[in-house]
Amino acid sequence: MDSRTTRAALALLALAASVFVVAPSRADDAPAADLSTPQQLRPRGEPQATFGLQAGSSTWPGDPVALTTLKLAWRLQDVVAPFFMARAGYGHVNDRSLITLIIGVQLWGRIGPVRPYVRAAVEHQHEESLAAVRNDPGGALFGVGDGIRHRAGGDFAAGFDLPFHHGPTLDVYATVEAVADWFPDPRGPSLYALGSAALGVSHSFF
Amino acid sequence: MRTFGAVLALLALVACGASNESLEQRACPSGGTPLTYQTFGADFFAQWCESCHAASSTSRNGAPPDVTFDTQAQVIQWKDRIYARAADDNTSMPLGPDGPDSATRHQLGDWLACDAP
Repeated sequence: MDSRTTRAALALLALAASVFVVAPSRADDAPAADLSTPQQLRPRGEPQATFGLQAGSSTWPGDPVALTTLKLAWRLQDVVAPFFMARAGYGHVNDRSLITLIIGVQLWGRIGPVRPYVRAAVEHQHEESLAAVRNDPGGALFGVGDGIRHRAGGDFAAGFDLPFHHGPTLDVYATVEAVADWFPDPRGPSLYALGSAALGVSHSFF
Repeated sequence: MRTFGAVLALLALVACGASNESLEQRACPSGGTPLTYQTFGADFFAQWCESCHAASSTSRNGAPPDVTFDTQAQVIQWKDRIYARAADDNTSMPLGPDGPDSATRHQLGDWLACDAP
């Protein structure tokens, strides 16, 4: 790679990084005079709850999947949040249920009112046939049913939040994201590629 | 709390919504079946099940260690669950998209319904 290409790549990288590092001020940024009170622009903490739907496919042929999600996060300084997500859904091949617990970190940037983000997480997923769920719903609910395939992997996503309601401390936003779930074991498909739409609320503590 | 309730409702729907015929409800064809363990069962289980359900399997992919199909007697012991997972229109086994075709699954249903001769 020549130095010109290297410089171009570095410039592009810096531009992308700036979205996540430099721009975490709020969308409804006030005029310059308000910048003297930055604590009003960047909440110290924001609990968030996001409820969504995911749909996509796995790497198994003919395996569409659909899931519902609930994500709970606590965003710090308007930029980063540890989060927990629970997910339940269905995969066509093997007529199977999918139940996932996910723990990870999400990082936001800002482009105007839009909040682009990336996230990475570890996950534990149960894959179990609906026949087994019907046979032992209690065991399925608590993860001790017969024939549950326990899988561990990584969850990666990129998307954006679009706030559409600003209250004094409460925001409501829509979210669209692309998700990839990777599992290294052979007990199921190695990759799920999903699209997601969600609605969320966040409450700001200054 | 509302979301938790919704998840429970979804699970209840899953638990009650679909109706898989059980082996008890599945009749043996009139006149019985020409299929036997020697002509059908042994090959079927060797091809589709034993990679995970053999006692000697070292890659069980989550198959419980006591659920093995090495002999006709073991198959008969587990026939209700084999039916619920793999016979007729039940397609939750074997693992993955490459299972037996529909005709073969219905042969398995016939054979199990006739007490797996």
